Amino acid sequence: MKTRGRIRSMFEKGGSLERLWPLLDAAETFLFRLPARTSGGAHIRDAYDLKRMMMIVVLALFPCMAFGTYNVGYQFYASAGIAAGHLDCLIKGLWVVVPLYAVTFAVGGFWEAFFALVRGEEINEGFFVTGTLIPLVMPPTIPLWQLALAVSFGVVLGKELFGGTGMNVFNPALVSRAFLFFAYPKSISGAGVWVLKGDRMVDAVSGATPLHLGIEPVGDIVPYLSSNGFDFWRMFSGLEPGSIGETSVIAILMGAALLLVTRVASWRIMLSVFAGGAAMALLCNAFAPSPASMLALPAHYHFVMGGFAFGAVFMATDPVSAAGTNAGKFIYGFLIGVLAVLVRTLNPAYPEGMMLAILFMNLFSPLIDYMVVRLNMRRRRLRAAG
Amino acid sequence: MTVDKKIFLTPISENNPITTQVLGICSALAVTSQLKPSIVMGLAVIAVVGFSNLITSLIRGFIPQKVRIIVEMTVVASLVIMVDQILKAYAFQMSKQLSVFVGLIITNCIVLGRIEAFSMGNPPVPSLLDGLGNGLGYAIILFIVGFFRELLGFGKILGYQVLPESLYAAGYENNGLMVLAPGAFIILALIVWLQRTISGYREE
Amino acid sequence: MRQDNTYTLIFLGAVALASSLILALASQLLKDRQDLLRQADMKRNILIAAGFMECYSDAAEARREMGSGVCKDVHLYYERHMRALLLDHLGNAVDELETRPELIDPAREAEKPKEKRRFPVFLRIDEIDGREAITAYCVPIYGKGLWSSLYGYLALESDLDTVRGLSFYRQGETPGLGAEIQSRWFQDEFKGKKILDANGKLVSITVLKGKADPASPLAAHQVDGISGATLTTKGVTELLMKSLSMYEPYFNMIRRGGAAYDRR
Repeated sequence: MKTRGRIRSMFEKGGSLERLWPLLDAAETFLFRLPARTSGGAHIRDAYDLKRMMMIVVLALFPCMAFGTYNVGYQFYASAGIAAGHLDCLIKGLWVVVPLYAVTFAVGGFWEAFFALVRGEEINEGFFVTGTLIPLVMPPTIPLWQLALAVSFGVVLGKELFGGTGMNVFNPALVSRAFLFFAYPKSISGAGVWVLKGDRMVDAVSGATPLHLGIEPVGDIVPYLSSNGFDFWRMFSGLEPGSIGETSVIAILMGAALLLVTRVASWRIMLSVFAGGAAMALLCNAFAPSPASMLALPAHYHFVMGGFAFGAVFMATDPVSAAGTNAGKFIYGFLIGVLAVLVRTLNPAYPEGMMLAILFMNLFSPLIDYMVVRLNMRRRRLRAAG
Repeated sequence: MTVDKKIFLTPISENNPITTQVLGICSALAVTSQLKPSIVMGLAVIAVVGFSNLITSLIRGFIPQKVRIIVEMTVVASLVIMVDQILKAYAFQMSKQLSVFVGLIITNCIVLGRIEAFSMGNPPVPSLLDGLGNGLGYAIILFIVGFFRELLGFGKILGYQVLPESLYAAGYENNGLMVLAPGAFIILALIVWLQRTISGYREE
Repeated sequence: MRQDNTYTLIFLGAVALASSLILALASQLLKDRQDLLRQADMKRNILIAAGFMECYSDAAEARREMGSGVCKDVHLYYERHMRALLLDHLGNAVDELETRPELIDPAREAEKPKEKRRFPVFLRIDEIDGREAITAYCVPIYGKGLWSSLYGYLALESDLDTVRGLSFYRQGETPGLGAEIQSRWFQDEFKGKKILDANGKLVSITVLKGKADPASPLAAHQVDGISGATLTTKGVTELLMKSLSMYEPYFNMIRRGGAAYDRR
């Protein structure tokens, strides 16, 4: 305790290492309990302690992380035609996922520390959730240097440019993914990137995600998907190619349960995303020219394909970039669901609409809140007058 | 002559039409995917802003107030058509690449902005300098954006491969975002960020 | 300063007169040169597809600026080796002196009623054993990709079956993905492919989703796709079929032994 005090005084105002105070502060808050705590959320709209809230999100992501790691290995061995045990799959998956996390946290941590030093602020926990999310929305084959660039882009341009944690307009993890999507589309779209490449691939088609297959179904879409091995329950369980953390709806639901029980994420947003997706899917079904089209895909298939469920539970509910009013949350979530299904079914160039839908609605959430508040004020004024 | 120097220099740096006044963004996004069209576009705008400032300043004493804008637009439009014709005759491929954006210099806010704000009330020589300075301020930003977009988006500068083949062999890829219009937005934003961090300029 | 209407009108008239005079003068002075460059540009695209100008290794080089000397060379070369024809929708040659086949815009033609459409074809004529012989038929190809219209030329060998060359000269597809149709490797894939099946029926060439299987009986009609650009390449497949079928009446006439052009 005495040494800690001595070190501390070196970093305090007037000490020789004054400029490096944020670094000490970060280490100290991470390792020790402090009398002073962050009170109020990153977005100052919630009564939770920021650090605890973020820990819960990370905990909620754990099932996705674990299953995703296993699935990376499982897909690898399945595509190579090797019979492998569960442990082998997990180890193979760790070989991929651990470096992704290492790079993400090294790069993200660097930028957090850099901006904290430049601005003379404390290093905050803001990157913790973002950093946990980013590898989960990446294909397992993503080159590490591209990941590093994407993390930099997401943190610097998605967050720090706007003033840091809690000030960002967009979800930084999705900004990272969108960067890759437009900058290096070959690494994150198409049929070739969702499964690790072994020395021998038995089946050239096995790398495609169900969404990718859905663009041009041969015959009716649902039987076509199941004939390629993608029946509803397989996609529900998650043993399919895709971004690392997004495939298993079971794992996502486990996370969702924790988020809802602890009230860290808004049930209004989650529910309305699914409601919006279902409404749009039904509308598309009604206008589908034939059952052999993406338009004819039933709503519950949309929910288990691609990043829909993952986005609804972990991305759309990010309190900083989502709408803040209760009515606004319903509108915000509903429109995310609608847009995601709309992009998926009508724009064959972007088989995955979830990322774009959430980013787009991130942009509109302040406007939604503004409208909700104004309408409320008008209603109250009228009530007072009447 | 110290005053004149400042007229020419401030639009290049602290009062830059793009980064400070945020004018002329449209063409800055559209033509800067490579350096060469950025340079040609920059030169075209320098010529148009410079000469339109000079000409309107020369005839400013004769322009009836109520048709002021029409006369200014006639001068600007004539100059732009001239530039377009010359490009078509001497740099056909470039004019094809720039397509409508040469014609759209007419609607570039910088041009009419400088005429209204400066040359209608100042003698010819300072007006010319003001026009050239603003044109150059615009052009320099285009050069910077075009340089980085071509370097990162194609690995080339002025059409010549500058990033070595060995880099690509090692797994490097060109950045597709830089080729799209949002790439220009992002580079522009970074330039504005950098400039304002250095100068301490704040929006009121 | 006078602000009355008479003065204003006179002033405006003077400004209008001065600017129109200057612009008319500029236009007159530059017109010849502009025409030279514009036509040289079109002709160069045709020459590239017809298999001349192998030096243009990719699309970027084919867009290089030409000086007036090069333009004149292109013109001379074109006049010596190429012959342009204009066809109607039935494949009959038509004489319309006012339309230059090189300047026909396929997008605009597609909007016209069928009878009014004109289809240019460019014949490469070489001297073989002292006699003039057609060695390539070059036709424009046009259609929609994913985001943009694709413009190009396809050249067939004298058997009207084998592809001699293909080049796209204008497109606005996704850089790195769809835009790869302008790359040398993709365009070179088409060389030597066949557009007719064993019965002489037009099957055109299909761009596959993945790699073409060389052992397949259809291999002569297939080329490898561009990974991640399924929709652009689908557009290429469609536009090839559509463009080629428009020339089928004319090509069939020649295959049956008709004269490709009036030798007078």
